[in-house]
Amino acid sequence: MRAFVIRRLLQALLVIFMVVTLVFFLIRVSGDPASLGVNLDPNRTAEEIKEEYEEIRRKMGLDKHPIIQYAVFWQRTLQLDFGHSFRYGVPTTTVIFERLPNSLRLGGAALVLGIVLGLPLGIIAALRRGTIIDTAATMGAVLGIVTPQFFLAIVLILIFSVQLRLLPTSGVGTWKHLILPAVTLSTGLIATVARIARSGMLEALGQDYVRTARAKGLAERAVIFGHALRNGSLSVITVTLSSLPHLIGTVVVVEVVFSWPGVGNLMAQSVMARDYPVVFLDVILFSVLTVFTFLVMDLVYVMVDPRVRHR
Amino acid sequence: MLARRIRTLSILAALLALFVMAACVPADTGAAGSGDMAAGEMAEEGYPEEMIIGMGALPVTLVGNTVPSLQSRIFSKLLYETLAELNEETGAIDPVLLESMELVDDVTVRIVIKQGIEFHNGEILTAPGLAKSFELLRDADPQKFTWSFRQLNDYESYEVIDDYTMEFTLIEPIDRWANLFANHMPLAPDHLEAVGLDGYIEEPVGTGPYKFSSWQRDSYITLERWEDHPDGPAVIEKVTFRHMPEAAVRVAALQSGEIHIAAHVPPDQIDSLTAEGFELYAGDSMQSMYVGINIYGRNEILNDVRVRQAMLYSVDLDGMWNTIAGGFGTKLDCQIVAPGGFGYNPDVQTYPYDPEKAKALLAEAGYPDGFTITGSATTGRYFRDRTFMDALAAQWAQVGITVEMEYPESSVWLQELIDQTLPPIMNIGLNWYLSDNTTSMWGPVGDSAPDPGFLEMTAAKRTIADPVEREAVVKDIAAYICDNAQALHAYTIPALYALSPGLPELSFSKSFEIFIPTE
Repeated sequence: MRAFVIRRLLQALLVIFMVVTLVFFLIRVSGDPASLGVNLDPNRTAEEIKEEYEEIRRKMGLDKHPIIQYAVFWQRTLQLDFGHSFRYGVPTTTVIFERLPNSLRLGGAALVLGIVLGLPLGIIAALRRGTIIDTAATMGAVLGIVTPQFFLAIVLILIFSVQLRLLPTSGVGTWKHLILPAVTLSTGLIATVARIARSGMLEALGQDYVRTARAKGLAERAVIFGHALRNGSLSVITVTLSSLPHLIGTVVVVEVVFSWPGVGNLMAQSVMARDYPVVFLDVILFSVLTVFTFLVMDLVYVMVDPRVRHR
Repeated sequence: MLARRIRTLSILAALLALFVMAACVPADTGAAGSGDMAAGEMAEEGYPEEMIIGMGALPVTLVGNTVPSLQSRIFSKLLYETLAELNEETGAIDPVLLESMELVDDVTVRIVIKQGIEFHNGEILTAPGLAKSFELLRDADPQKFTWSFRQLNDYESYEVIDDYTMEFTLIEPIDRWANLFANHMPLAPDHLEAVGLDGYIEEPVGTGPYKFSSWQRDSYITLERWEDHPDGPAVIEKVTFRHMPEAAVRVAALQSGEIHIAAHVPPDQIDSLTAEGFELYAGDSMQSMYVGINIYGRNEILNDVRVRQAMLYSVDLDGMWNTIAGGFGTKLDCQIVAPGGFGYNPDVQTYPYDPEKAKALLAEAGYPDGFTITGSATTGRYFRDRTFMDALAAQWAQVGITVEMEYPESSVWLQELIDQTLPPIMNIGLNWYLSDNTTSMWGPVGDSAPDPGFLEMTAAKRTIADPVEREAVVKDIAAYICDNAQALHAYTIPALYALSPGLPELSFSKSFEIFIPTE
């Protein structure tokens, strides 16, 4: 088990290293933050503008060769020095960590919603297979998966904020502010969990051990919860955990639409502003979360299914 | 039976989820519109106690003189005041916190600060204090502050004469000597020294009608009125700026009563909003949609003035202004500034829409079948920029001029602008705030220039400090720019605000400042 964990941890570090390296060079191809800081005052000549641009590049350390910048970046990162945000002028860690709780809150709420709504929905659909409830649940799930979150967000705002005036359109503050973003973010997860729970339950319900349990005269509740659900839940765990990176990715769209001051929103703005230090720390954070999620998933798998450990 | 139980469990689970969500959210932070669907209570006069403004972007720093965009002035001019300001009617720069400012000789400027100007923290604005804040700001790191007051670079030195008088020495005579004072928002010097620039971001102190209350980056900024402002307290107790990058969300928030003002509303929403009873403030700006024609002088075809004139004759500017800008802003008269801008020349008029004349000019220049060139259009950087450039290319195509348009990403476009590698046709929202009617993209390119004569004229103008003399020269240069068809000057970029009813008589300046009446 220890060797397994160490191997997975090393793989995780390698993945993070590769992702950060890729982002480091790709973002440089897409533009230069110094150009965004130049004052394009029409009173200034092209030479003055160019001079200021070069000065900003020098101060940002962008005039050095990319390989040297890369080496300096890792030297500082390994010392946990993530530098100052180009855009905000404050330490990058301050910018990120003052937003992280908001994103965790939103992601956590979406995850809870995904499980507590998706799981029963899938179970009901499986138990009522072929009925109108099953059809409705399946169609709802498909709709949840295919609906673009940007569109859904605007529709929810128009219904619950503009028409019914029940919930605020955007921002943070009270629990009411959390509902629309969390529902929007969780829609895909609810649908995915419901679909997987349904198929997992259907598969489990057709197994011999369920038939045996019923033949032994066990109550249906005991059969469902004690046997079928327990075995059918493995795929739900897998899907839920593997959905987390997707959740991290989609949180960017949801946070932007709802002006939710989280790391996803920050990521979008930082990429546009070429705020390299913030983008890198954000990428590191997202990578660590993603890799950590997969690591946990592997460990859970090992614990739940001993065959994996022996493979 | 079992299914019913599961359904019941599902409902309980959903309720549990809501409780969990509610529990994991902190109590009301006091942020704008915090959960109350009606945006604020009413003050005695019937105005809301807190006025909430939905903005597309919020400033990234609250320190005066470092706020990067002109659009941020809606916030910064409530918190800070400038030493002087642009008079939008005359184009002159009038003193505000200054008693006077004058050019003693060609290179010496003397300013006298008004006595008794108090900062929100009780400090008094004095000449030594101003000099101290200059020292602290002069070396502002661009990595921390994207826009420091660079006009100070025009000056060689400054000297404190007495408690309220300073003298500045220019490096050379220059027309824009007053711009420093029109841009500069004094900071409380002792506070600045005590907390440093980083600390000032968290606790900004100015002399404006509102003082800082609270701020969460990229979320909201709340200001509260300063009761001791010399002009008296403002009628609205609190002003909150909320970050709402999506225009659709800003409009929805206005419709739901969550905010009182939606800034930069899309023109296509105006009719429905006014039908619902919202008021519209169609403001103007000092930023013009400018389409440069051969700004580096590198394209042989476009070096012929007849070709450039043909390009202007082939554009139905009235139609484009009405359809693309909705008739908002001001249609320009073949010059960069609108009436009221410094050096506006009423004798200069737009080329009339005359495709036949355009074709005749092209034939005369040797291009009866037209020609093909490349162009660059920004996307989303300026108000309906891409739509405008697409429509323009379509109009040029009618007379045989094919413009193969590129749409580079914003930072790539900026890089090309700095490197002077943009194609012969380019667009920009050219800002003429604190500038004049000679503003043009036709500048020197390395050792060459598109029009050396034009550059000589503008260089001579830059040394004329006397405003009256300068205005006459500026008008002549504006006429020259139009005659030579350097560019298509389209319209000023409109600033559209939708307001809920019941607000006091607000006004907005062309430089995006908001004015709230006092009691």
